[in-house]
Amino acid sequence: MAAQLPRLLAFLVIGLLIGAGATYAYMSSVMSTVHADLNAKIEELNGKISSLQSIINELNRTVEYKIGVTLPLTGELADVGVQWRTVVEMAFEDLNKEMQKYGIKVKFTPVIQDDKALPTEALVVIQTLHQAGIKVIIGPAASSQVKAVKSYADENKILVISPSSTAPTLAIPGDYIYRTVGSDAGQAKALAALIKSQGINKIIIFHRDDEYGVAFEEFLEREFKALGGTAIGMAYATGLPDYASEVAQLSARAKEEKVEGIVMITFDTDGVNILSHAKDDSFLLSLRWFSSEGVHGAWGLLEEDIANFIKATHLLGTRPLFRENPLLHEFVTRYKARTGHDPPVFSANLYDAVMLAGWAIVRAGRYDGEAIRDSLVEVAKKYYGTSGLTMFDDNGDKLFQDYSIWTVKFSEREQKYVYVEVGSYSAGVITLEE
Amino acid sequence: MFDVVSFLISWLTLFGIYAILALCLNMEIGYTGMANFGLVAFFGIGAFITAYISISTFLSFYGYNYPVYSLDAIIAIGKVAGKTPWLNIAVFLLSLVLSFLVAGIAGYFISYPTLRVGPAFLGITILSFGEMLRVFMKHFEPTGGAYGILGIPHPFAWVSDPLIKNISYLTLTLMILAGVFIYFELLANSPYGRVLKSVREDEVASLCMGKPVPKIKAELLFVASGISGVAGALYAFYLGSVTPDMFITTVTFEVWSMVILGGRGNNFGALLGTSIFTLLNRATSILNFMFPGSLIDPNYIRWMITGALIVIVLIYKPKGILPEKPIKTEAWKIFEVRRGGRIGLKLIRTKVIVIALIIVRYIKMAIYWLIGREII
Amino acid sequence: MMSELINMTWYMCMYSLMAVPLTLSYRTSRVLNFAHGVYITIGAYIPVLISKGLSIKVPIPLALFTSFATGALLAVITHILVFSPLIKRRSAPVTLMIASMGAWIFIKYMFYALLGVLQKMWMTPLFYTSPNIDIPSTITLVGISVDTKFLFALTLTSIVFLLLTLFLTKTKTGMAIRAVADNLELAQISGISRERTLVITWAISGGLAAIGGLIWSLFAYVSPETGDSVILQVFACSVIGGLVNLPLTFVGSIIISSSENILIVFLHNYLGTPLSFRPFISFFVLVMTILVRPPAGAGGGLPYRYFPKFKTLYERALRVKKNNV
Repeated sequence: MAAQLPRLLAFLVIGLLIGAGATYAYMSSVMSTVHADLNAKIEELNGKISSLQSIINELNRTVEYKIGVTLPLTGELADVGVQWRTVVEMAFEDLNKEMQKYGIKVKFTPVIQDDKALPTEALVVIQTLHQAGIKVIIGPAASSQVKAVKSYADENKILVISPSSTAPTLAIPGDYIYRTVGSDAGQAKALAALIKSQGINKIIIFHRDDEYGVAFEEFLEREFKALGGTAIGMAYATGLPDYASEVAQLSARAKEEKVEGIVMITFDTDGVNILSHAKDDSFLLSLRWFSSEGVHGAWGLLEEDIANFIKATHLLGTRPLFRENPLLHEFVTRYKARTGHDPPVFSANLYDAVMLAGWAIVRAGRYDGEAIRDSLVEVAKKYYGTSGLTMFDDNGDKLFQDYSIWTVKFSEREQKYVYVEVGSYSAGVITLEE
Repeated sequence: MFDVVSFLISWLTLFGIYAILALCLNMEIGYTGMANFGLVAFFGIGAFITAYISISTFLSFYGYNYPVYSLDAIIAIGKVAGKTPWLNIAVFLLSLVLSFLVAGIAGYFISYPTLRVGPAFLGITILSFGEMLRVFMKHFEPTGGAYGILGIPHPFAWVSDPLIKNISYLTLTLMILAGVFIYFELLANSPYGRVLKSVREDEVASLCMGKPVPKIKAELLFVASGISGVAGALYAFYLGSVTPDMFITTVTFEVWSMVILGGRGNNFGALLGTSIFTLLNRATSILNFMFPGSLIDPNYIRWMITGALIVIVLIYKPKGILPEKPIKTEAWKIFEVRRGGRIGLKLIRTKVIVIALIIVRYIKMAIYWLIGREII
Repeated sequence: MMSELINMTWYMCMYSLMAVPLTLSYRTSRVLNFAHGVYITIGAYIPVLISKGLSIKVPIPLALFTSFATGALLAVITHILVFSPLIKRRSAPVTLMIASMGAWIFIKYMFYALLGVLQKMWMTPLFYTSPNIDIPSTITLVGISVDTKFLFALTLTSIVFLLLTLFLTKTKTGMAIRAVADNLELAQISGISRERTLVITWAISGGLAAIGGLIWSLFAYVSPETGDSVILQVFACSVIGGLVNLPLTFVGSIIISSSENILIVFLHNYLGTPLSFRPFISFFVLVMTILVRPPAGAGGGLPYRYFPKFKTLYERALRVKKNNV
């Protein structure tokens, strides 16, 4: 028996080995099916996770909306146009920051096009922007341009928000043109009241001969006559480089008609030009001067000699603005820090136009012109921005517009001339601090 | 994302209007050598006449008594513009005819002083008249003065679907363009065209050969100004509003660039130049989409590209892209056929072509008789 | 009345400084240069950019020199890049005119782009501005206080025209310019290089236009559109001079400036014309001037007097006079 022990041992070992091998093979096949089942389950779970992930991504995705902006970057209004561009950039930055703060996953990008201050070019710009899929456009600046784009905008349901067009003939209800600036009829009332409150009874209205100037002059003459004064209108041609002879004529006529005050209805470039010639005229220096909002913000008025002229004639102007608006002060401070000078006219209206457009798109939920227009009216009812209450009337124009009275004074603190607000016109009452 | 159909419609409509202007200018400078710098004056006359006539006809038809430029008129027209289709079409045709007549007569009368100052100053004289007219219109109350006229009733205002309305207007414009093109081609490829070219090359020699040079110039100015007035009418209907400040000298110089670039003296060249310019304007705005926040404003780059393109094209092709073709009167065509040049080698084919040309000649004689001109 | 006369003299200085180089360049090269307005604008802007960029008061000689140099350089570059290749290909004057229009558009918007970049960098408004030139406002001469800028403009214009006349009549280069202008083939036979003469003419033309812009910047504010808004009036002055006659161009500038300042005054006071008719008046005067006395000799043929039903008054008078004798 002892001689067969190695043989038995060998059988045992071989048997163990075979058994182990068989068990291993069996186990691995069982394990592989288990593995396969497990793998299949893992795949299924992975699939579910990724679809959930894509739903979460979809919910987290930032939708990008493009808003078109058409500005006069070349041509007669290039000076303000370039500054308006900075205002637009600021407005879009603020809008996107607000969206982030509120957790709304929307991003707005401006597409800024130059329309050369010409009506035909504005139409081409609107058409190009529309064909690229944009349905909300801020601009154009001039009323003649708004008139040229009106029929295309109404037909294709493009919302056009103009921050600076003030023509009375565009107050048409039910169209797609909205204006965030009050009509000049209101400002003429304010200006007439201001002039009368200063004790002036006879004025010459020195105005541009384009739509803005002629309409304003008509309104102002009417309002001033209603208050018991007399007004003479003197138009000058727009687009000319220099107005020396017109100012000389103004002086001669003023002397002849024995007027007590001059009202200038201008834009910024011609206004600065007129003042730079008027300051050399001794007769004009002895009269009281008033102005509309056109020349406000022009840095030329902060030059020493013109500022002295303003002081000597106590020049007071009106502009559409709600004076005690902290949002406005904040905007002006930021703009000054960014560019080094005051914001130009209609900056607050332009800023609010951008904000309203953004919020209207968010409220509408979809990028459809008609839906955005309806929601714009609703948003504007409750929005209070840098230009005050933004509610629209039935014609799509700004309903409530207060006016502030401005002039140029020397600031001891900054040791230079600055624009200051010295009063306001609200609900027919003028308050002046002097 | 890009609306190709709408792009084509809006591009081609403005292309049609500017192409008509370019064809008129091509006849004036390319064939007759009259450097007309005041084209925009007749364009504006046509537009204002159209605006005034269409709105006042509508107002008087419906019994409203508002002045043409007032807000009440605009709202009233807005309400009634789509009610009677036949009135829209009738007013459209009436405005076309009246614009042609008034602008043409204005052109004819301007030819008197311009012929006196000599061919070198014809351009600046017409330009001065144009500017004087524009300043005058800014003060002329009945047509709105500085406000201009808004709310011109579209000939297809009664069509409810805007797409169909725009396509119909586009078709109408292109048909008028085709008509003008064929008319100018017929005019140019005839003995009359030869006389025009002779006036361009050497007026004195032409006079010595007995051609009534001032009469020819006055006639051509009549026709070209009239057709510019028709372009103005189409423009007024398309835009829906006219203001005196739309018609400044910049427009004339744009049309000049189109004609010179495309090929002076070649009607196809005028069309080509117009299409290049109107397309370039729209196409370069893609730069604004690509570079929104760059330091240099892409808009300035757009206009720089336009200017550079004019210079580069002119340096490589000073006469314009398309060359001037010889005048193809019937005699020339028969000559070419006989010479066996371009048109076929077989005798029967040449005979058929000769007969066809003779028939065309009779049709032309009929047309000339209709317009009332003798064959020079 | 005094202020109108002073304004008229200002305008006369400016228009003549802008129109005479235009006539000179047309006469010599037969190119109706549309880019002239841009030379004026850039010449007006150079002292602005210097004063704003370095924050100094620009001394007069520096302003004059830099304006002139920039205008001249710009004109010469335009000539070399745009006009010279076209002239070598013997193009028609119309082609040259449109090429100058292309150059005008290119330079103008390049300048806009430059201003845009500079405005962002320097944080000061540049699109409607005025230079800070080191000139006292008034100086007292023999007891009366005179506006220095006015005196400066007047003196500068007179000196410039004196120098120009001396240059064109006495120096060899000046006479070469006149020779090339009057009879090209004869001049080339006499050994005058056309290319060199053209370069010098364009340099003078661009430089003088820039000086005109500099005077404008003393008078009123400048914007990138300044040159183009006066270009029509400048062309009017040149046209009165027949586009070739330099003294007549000067007379033309007197006519246009007085119509803009004095004639409009009369019309306003006696006929009640609104002041906004000023552009109307200048064009009206231009048309009347060239109708009454069509300028002869401009490239392009004789003024046309063949008109069977329309005889001029003095021709009729002449015939009567002949018959009477």
